[in-house]
Amino acid sequence: MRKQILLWLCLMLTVPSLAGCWSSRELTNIAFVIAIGIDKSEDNRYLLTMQIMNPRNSASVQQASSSKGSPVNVYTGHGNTIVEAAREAMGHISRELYFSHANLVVIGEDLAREGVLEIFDRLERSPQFRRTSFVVIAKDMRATDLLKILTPIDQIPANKIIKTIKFSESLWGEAIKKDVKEAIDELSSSGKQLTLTGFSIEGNKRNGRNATDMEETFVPSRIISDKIGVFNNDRLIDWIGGETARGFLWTQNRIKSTIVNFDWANHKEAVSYRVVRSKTGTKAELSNGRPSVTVSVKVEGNIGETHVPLDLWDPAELVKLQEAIRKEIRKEILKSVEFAKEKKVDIFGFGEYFYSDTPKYWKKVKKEWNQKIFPELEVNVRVDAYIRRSDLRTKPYFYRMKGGE
Amino acid sequence: MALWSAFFNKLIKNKQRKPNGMKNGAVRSGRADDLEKKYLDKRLEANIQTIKETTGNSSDIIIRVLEAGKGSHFPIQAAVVMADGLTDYATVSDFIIESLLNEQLFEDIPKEKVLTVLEKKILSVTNVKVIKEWNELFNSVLSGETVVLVDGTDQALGAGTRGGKTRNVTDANTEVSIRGPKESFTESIRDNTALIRRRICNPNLWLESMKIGKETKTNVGIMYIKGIANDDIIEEVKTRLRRIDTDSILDSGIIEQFIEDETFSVFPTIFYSERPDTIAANLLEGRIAIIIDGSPFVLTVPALFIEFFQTADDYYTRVDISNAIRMLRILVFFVSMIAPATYVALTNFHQEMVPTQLIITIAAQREAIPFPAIVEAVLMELTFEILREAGLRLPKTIGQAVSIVGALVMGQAAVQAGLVSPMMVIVVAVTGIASFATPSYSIAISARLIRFALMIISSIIGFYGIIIGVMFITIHLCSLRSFGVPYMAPFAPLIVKNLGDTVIRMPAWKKDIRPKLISQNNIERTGEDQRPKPPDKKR
Repeated sequence: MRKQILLWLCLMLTVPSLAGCWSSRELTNIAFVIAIGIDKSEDNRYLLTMQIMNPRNSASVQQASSSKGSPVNVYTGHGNTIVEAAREAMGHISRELYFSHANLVVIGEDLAREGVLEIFDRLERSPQFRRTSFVVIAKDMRATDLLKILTPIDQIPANKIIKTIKFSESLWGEAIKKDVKEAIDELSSSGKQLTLTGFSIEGNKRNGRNATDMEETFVPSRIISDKIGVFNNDRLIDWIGGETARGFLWTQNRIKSTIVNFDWANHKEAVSYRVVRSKTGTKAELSNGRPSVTVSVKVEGNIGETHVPLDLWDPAELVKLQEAIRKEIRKEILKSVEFAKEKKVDIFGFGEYFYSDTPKYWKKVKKEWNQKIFPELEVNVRVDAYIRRSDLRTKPYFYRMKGGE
Repeated sequence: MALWSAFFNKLIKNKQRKPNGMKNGAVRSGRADDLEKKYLDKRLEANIQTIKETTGNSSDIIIRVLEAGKGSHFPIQAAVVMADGLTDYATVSDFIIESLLNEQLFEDIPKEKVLTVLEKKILSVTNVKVIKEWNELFNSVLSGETVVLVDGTDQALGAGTRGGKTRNVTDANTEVSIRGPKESFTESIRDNTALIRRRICNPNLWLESMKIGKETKTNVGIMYIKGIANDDIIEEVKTRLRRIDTDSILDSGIIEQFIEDETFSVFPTIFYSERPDTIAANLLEGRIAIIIDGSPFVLTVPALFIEFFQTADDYYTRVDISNAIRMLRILVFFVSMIAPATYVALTNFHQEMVPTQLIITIAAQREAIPFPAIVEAVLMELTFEILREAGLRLPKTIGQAVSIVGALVMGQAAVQAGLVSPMMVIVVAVTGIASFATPSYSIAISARLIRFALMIISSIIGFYGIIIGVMFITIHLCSLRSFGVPYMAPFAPLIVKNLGDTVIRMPAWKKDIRPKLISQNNIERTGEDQRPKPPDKKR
């Protein structure tokens, strides 16, 4: 019996030493960092900006008595490394910084143009950071300024930015959702160049830091998703927007739904095609030493709006419409391909397809891919577009008035 | 648990080592103990004197002396002895006293044959037995029989006239069911055995009786179905019951503590119920029922862990809904065990596991709370336990007042005063409701105890602690036995054939067998091809 007791005691004693998460943290002693911004400071060190949740002022708690303050507060720190900068900031904050809920990383444009290669190491190494945090660029400004702006509906600015990227990517197609993991993959791959969404402030950059500014119907400064930044290796070189950006997203199989406008009967952009489903496949081929890539897009959707008389009862008309849509989407994709070839950056990741399909060839051309091979690459674009429905109407009410029969 | 029992065993041993001078020190005179193996006297006078002395002239022991018969050597002195309130007056007066006073019946009987004639011809009650020993006499008087003593014989007759007031059979209080029989056991053992017999009309339903308790001499019945119940287990039950050496058995709970396998465990290894249908179902699975006079709760052994989550309703309602509800019940048992511990672990250790929005909401609520999460949790859980305990014993009318105060204290005031966060109130409320959803009170309270232990360990090492705690519990559960049967059967050891009535229950028409470890003979319950189907179209 004595032996058994001793055995139990020994087993019990090992329990605390095995504990991986020994340090207990009370919620009232930690500061939830929900977004971090990284900039280059004047003295060529890193400037780390942390957007910290102020739980008392968050919307979920209704405390009638206290007046509403800002739901987040921003603290900054300088350092040669990101860890050092965070430690420096500790001096300003009464609580322990807690990064597990940092869902957003903002990189200042200046830093992005200088190169972002090293900054992800801390984000990947730290057990607290999430590799699923989104990465964006503060366009035309420093990250620290972007993070100081409040937002009206989603009270936490980081959430507003994250949601904007998500919906903008899948429903509109001019932003690309990238998390830390993907960013690191693309930075370390020579077959695909990094692309990150830009966010900028529309309106007055100075306003929007005060909670009272949020009480207006049209807030003076608004954070908006603004183009996609294209990198050459680790440096930001240019921005793409509009059709070029969407053409790029088509190739990435990232569009779930968007609106494609096309010309019809000599009217510019007269009909809106509402994409409901889309799927993109990319295939790399090597014939007689000549590389080529085929991008095939299959799109299904509805006619969303028309400003010209259309008769969708007519199958022949439908076929013609589908042809027009096909051309339009193909045009967008080719536009983005043209742009990338000109800049000599393979943002599409075509190189990665060669890497997986023809590894021997890839080994040979890896070094000169972006500079020599990619700009000369033959890119075939095949689009299949189908009109499945026309929403509630087949003919518009102005069909006869505008000369339909 | 092994640690605990080792500790307690040591304590007990130490105690026993002390010289015990008290035990049976002085022999008290005039007590029934002295009458062991003593026989009745021939003289009625003397017998009556002994009865009066032994019972201390208790006013509820009625001794009616009368003269019976007429003729040469008649009238003869006779006495009727009975306990007031335990007998049925009508029977005593109509069939015993009346017969004794009927002079014609006693003509020309030799004096020494009076008793035999009384037994065989005159006493018109259902059962009559001959008594020779004093002990026997007192047992039969005090259990409600009427004893007839006749002058000149050293024997007496005990006539079965049990009666008097017992509680009526009423609706089940603690195990209410929506559908199914409403009856519940009463405090009278005879009513209880009858309730069971009424459900199992089978001569193989055997009832054995014994008296336990030196002072109380409580009637205890062991009931089982011969041929279904395992003989070894029956023997084990009897051995354990015979071993009991205590002065009193006032409820089945006391018997339970004397015969259970593991005394230092929060889990019950003996099942009890107040529903005759539940007990009948258990008997039919090969279990053995222990019925105690004076207790409306009947014990059954061996008990399995899963048994405590099955309710009578499960079998009476249709299979789909009863399975859904049973799974919910098992889930909820775990909720009631680990919910507060999880809350403490999440808010103190694993903030990264909570969705951002939620952790911020919780953080906001905790901003103004002066205590660490564990203090908050223990405080609220204790308050809840106090309320529950207070409400339990109060008369119904005052109980309402307590629940109002409780609701206000728990829900409103504690939050407004900034003592606890609203989230904690929700956790406590969910836990409380969850613990009420467990059908068996005895297993619900084990979750209640474990909850506090888990809460404390989770405040020290977080989820890791909860996992360790749950592992310990699982190991402990697997080590338990109830009358030799593994407590976790049919999961550990895994008996696939018996899984049909565990977390889910198979439809009633499905071929079914009795639990293998409990009953090994006559194991088939439902035959083949019992599934109902519409008649063939050809007809």
